[in-house]
Amino acid sequence: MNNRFELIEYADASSEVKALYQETMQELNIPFVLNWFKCQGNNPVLLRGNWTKLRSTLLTGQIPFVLKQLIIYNISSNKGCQYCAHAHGVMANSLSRTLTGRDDIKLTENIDSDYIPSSYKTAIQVVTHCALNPGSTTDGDFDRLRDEGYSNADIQELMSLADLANMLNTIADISGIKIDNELMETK
Amino acid sequence: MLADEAKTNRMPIKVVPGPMDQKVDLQQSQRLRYEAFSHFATEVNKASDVEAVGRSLSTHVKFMLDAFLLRVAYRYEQSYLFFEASRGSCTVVDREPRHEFVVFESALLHSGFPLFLGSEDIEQDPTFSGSLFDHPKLVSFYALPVRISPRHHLVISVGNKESSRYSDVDFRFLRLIGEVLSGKLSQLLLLRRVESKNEELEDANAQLTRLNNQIGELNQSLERTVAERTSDLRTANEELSILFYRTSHDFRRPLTTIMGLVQVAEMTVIDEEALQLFGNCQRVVVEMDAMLTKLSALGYYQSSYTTTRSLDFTPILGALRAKFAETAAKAGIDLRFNLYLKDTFHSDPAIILFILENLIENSIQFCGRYPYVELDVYQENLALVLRVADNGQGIEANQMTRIFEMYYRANAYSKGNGLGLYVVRKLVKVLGGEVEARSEVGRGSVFTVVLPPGK
Repeated sequence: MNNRFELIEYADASSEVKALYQETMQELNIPFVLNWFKCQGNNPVLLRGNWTKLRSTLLTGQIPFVLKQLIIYNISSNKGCQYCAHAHGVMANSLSRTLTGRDDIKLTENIDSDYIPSSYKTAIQVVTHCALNPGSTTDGDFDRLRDEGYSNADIQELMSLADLANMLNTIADISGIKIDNELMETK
Repeated sequence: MLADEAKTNRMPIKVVPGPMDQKVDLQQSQRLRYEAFSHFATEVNKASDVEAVGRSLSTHVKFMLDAFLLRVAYRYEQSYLFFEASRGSCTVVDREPRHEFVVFESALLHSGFPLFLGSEDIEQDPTFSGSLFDHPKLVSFYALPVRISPRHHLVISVGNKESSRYSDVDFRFLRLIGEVLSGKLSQLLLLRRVESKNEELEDANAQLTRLNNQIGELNQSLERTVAERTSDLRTANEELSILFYRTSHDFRRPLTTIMGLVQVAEMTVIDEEALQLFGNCQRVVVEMDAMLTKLSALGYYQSSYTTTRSLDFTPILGALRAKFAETAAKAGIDLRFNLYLKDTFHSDPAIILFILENLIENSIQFCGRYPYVELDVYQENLALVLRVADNGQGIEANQMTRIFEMYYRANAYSKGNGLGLYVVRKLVKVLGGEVEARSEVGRGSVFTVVLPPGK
């Protein structure tokens, strides 16, 4: 039982919140509602706003979805947000299974590989740096991304992940939500 | 590598040690790159122009290869395209000054081998000067020629900021990228050619339409002119016909008077010599009258003068018999008229009578031994046929084409004035019919007039 934000289960949610829960499950392609959404289920306005932000940042654009998941995973790990590191790590690794066809390969454990294009690693490094210390962001960070071939639109899309990850981490840490049982099973 | 990056970027990638060996690592990374290649190929296939291909290149190549700078020089027959991608954008040009780098690409294509150059090689090689790869951050370079056919090939060149970031896998992806690009670009260039041809055709079509319109206008102008001239000619012709008809009539009146006076003189004058002179005079006047009669008939050219009515051949044949019976009897000619009509025909009886008079007169003139002239009036299908046959001296084959000409005499001994058959043909035409002659020297001639049924 969470004694900070109440977790609103699907069965107990209002019709508006149920509809939003449905959207999260469909678009994230998971068969359950994440605790991150449940802890906002008593405020449909906030839930809608935050879900819209998550969806716009994570699920649309030109940057590969797996790279986005790895960036959020890396930021969350560095910030020590266990919930987000676990959730996005699981999602990235589930993609790695899709990409490799093997269960024992985890992208999160191999993102330093020499065989992975440097565009991935540079993006993870720069965006993580900017997410942890936004004030220390320099033009050099942007140049590093451009040198990797990212366009201005790509960079805006990447940098928005710094913002998203901070929001995800903040809500997860403040609400004190535990890792979803379903994700624990996955692990 | 990772340690260096970690130092320079303060924020290391958090690595959780795992049981990965190099082989699995390689496999995993290739899957990532194939995924990116798949997106690239899909997007390139959907591209509708070379700029869209360039955008796909700059968007997706970075997820397949480390490519700080990328250049693709593409040729398809006489068409060239150059793509240069760096820092998230791509420029595409289809003409490029022939600088050293293009020569280098041609040489590479000729050799057929991929090439890798380190930083020292690049610095010392003037080929790179002024090219995309003339960049202070560049420390390594590699290029791959891809030949599809002798006139269809490309060279992909990649420049990097790190010295050893290339592998066989990179070349494999370069080749894949090259194959996707060559397929799509040849298609786009062909489409461009088709569009260009279409534009040329449209221009040619527009020009043809303009010319056609001009011809149409000229035609209309010509038709107007022709119509005006035809109308003038018709009016002049009508006036001439009227003049012709009236003049013939006017001439005939004094001739009739002269003939009357000659007859009176024959009755009153006793002097034999004078009578002979009057006789000669009468013959000449009769001939002249016959000629004027024919000429006046030409007045019938004006169709307005014709009177179409139901034909009754009894009075026509009666008139013919009355006119020629005496002459025929004197010359011993057997004159036969045969009427076989069942249906009623419509035409101008006066003209028909005139046609038959001329044909019979013509036949009578040239009768031979045991002479006969036979007129058959019958119908064939829907047409009315008038057939005049004789067993006279006939007409030479080489004369046949000219017998209907004005004032033409087929026979030097002809007593006619050369107008009879000419008038016949003209009048048959006025009635909308045709006349045909067949003849054999020594055996006779047959003239056949075929007339439409009328009404």
